[in-house]
Amino acid sequence: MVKDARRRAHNYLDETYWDGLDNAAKLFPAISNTRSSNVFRMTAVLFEEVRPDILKQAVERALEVMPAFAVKLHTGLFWYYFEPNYEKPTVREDYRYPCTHFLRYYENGYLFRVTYYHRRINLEVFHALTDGMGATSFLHCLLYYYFNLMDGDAVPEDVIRRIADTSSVEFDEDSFVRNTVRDDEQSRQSISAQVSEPPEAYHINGYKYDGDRLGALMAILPTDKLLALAHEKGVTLSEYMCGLLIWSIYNTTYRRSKRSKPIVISVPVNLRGLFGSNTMRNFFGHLSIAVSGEGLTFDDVLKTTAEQLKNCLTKGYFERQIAAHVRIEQIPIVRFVPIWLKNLILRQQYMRTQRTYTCTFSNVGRMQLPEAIADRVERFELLLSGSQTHPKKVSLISYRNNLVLGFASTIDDNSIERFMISFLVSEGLDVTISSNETPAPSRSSKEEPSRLSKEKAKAEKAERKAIKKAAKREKKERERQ
Amino acid sequence: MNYCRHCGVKLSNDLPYCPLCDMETVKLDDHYDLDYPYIKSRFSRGLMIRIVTFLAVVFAAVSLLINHLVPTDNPWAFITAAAIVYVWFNLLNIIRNTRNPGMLLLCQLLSVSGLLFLIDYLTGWHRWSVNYAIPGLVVAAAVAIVLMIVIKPVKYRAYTIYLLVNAVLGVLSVLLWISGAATVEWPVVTACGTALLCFLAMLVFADRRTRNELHKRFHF
Repeated sequence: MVKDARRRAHNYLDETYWDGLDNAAKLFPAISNTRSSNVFRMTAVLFEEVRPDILKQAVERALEVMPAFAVKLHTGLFWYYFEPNYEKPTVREDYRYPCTHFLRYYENGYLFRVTYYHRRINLEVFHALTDGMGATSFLHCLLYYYFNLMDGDAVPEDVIRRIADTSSVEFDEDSFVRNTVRDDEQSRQSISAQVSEPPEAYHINGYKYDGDRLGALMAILPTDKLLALAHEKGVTLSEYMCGLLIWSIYNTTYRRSKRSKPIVISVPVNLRGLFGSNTMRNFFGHLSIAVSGEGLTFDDVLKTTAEQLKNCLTKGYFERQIAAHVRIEQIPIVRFVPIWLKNLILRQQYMRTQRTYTCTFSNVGRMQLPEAIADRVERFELLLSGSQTHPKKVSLISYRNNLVLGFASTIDDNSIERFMISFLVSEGLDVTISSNETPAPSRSSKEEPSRLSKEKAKAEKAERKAIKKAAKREKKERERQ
Repeated sequence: MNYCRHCGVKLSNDLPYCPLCDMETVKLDDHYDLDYPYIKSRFSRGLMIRIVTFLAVVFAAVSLLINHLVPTDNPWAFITAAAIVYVWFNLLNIIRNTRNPGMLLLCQLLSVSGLLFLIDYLTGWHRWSVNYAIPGLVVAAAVAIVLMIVIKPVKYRAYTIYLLVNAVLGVLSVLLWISGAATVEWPVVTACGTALLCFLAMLVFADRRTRNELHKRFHF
């Protein structure tokens, strides 16, 4: 016992601790595979090169104050569950495509991975563990410790502890279950609303990339100018960007389709503020914005987008949504179905809901760091993973005056991105883009001489042929003579 | 930093072509960000499994064919095929990097039992497998799990479930005698007794944690 305690990297969760997955998380292990990994990546871009040794220590320290992340996933007979993980977390240099699938045992059992690449610290999280808000808290905590270890106490320890304490009391709470309204009439209605399916939405198609390849395209925009643009139209920034996304789809891939189905954007919403929760597990809802019709203008699209967003962003709407989801998992027959059969049914059900939207637009909003380290981070980036059925996912994150619009793509068609970015450029914005289409490193240095030598060899061959031909011709001529 | 004239955007990476419009870019200055590594090949695990499976099918087919073409009374090819399946199954476990020793032990118990039963059945049905080999394996598995618990006491909770499964197998092995397949009573009873005793010992010596373990595995 003693020997094992010394071997442990950390010991903040009791050995007997275990916890079931929250309502939303139950879905993700069932539906994830290489082509739709349900992993998202949050990146902090620093002003200097990342030091791996310090990053490693920082991850371990951050895990100590945020035990919600120090778990591994296990399969029970009826449900999955989390168990404490005492292994060392892995910290590696980035070497794969972003947001690749989590295989069990691959990251020492952790459901998140931290990678670094030059100035970037990437945190990739499997959605079963937590949502964007939980990942934000962890990344911030990681940054505090990183800078503290770099040069003394940049952020005072008690500040970190205070942040950690607010989450530690209820860090693994399933807020979905807590916030289920026990009004039977209402939940019955909401279930019937769920059963009557919304119409099928337009889907983006294209030539799919091979395997786990994910195209990442980041557009870095100035927040102030974009805000001014949105306010000019009388909408919020989120509404503006969502409207612009719909407008871009409407003008590019949608135009090439039959145009019989509506464009539906699914917007995940963080419910912590709405319901007063501090959980480190998933707690989000969805709302959909549907646009259809011929001959729309950008102003029309913006107007309906803003209207639909405002109508749906109410507590009642999400209460009904949560009640419907939680009711299903609490049906007695469902609870006693073995996990593998449950996964099979979940997968079918999920594929059906997948048909009802076109694209995901996720806005995690403004990042804020304590004064002491605020100047040391240039920007944050967010990237969602694409899936088999939804090749494009768009995300938005802002820090100070750097707003980053992230596109994840699993198809070889970037007309939506091109339209959206050129629209912003035409509005007078200064846009910088960053892409993961990194060319092979050897191309510039090695291929040039080899190509030259190839050409040389070709030339020599041609010469030899010419000489042979000339010799033959001479022979023939001699024979004739 | 590069610049794309066509799109009017700056490129923070050193890309010769614009990722948006595929046009050639213009160089603004020498400062480039390295944001993503170049990725050569993707992680592939399926190939090894496919190779092993293909080889297993080829060997089994060849032995069946030889058995068919060379006339004998003895259908030895079925034993070969069973052995090939057994080897294939073990290689799969190695490729998949199964790290759970309790799980591996139970898999071995079941597959070796099946293999021995088949060999016995195809070579004259002398009942040595059901009389002695299978009960012996159940006892061996129970003892092995207990030994694992003794050597690595911290991980014992994870083995609770395997002791439980083993106890169930022990009880099931009595069925061999009741159904008349086994003709000798004492090995079957010993196996059942040992398996049950080991599970009981686990319950007695580690009650709270064992209950916790069972609870989380079977929570609903």
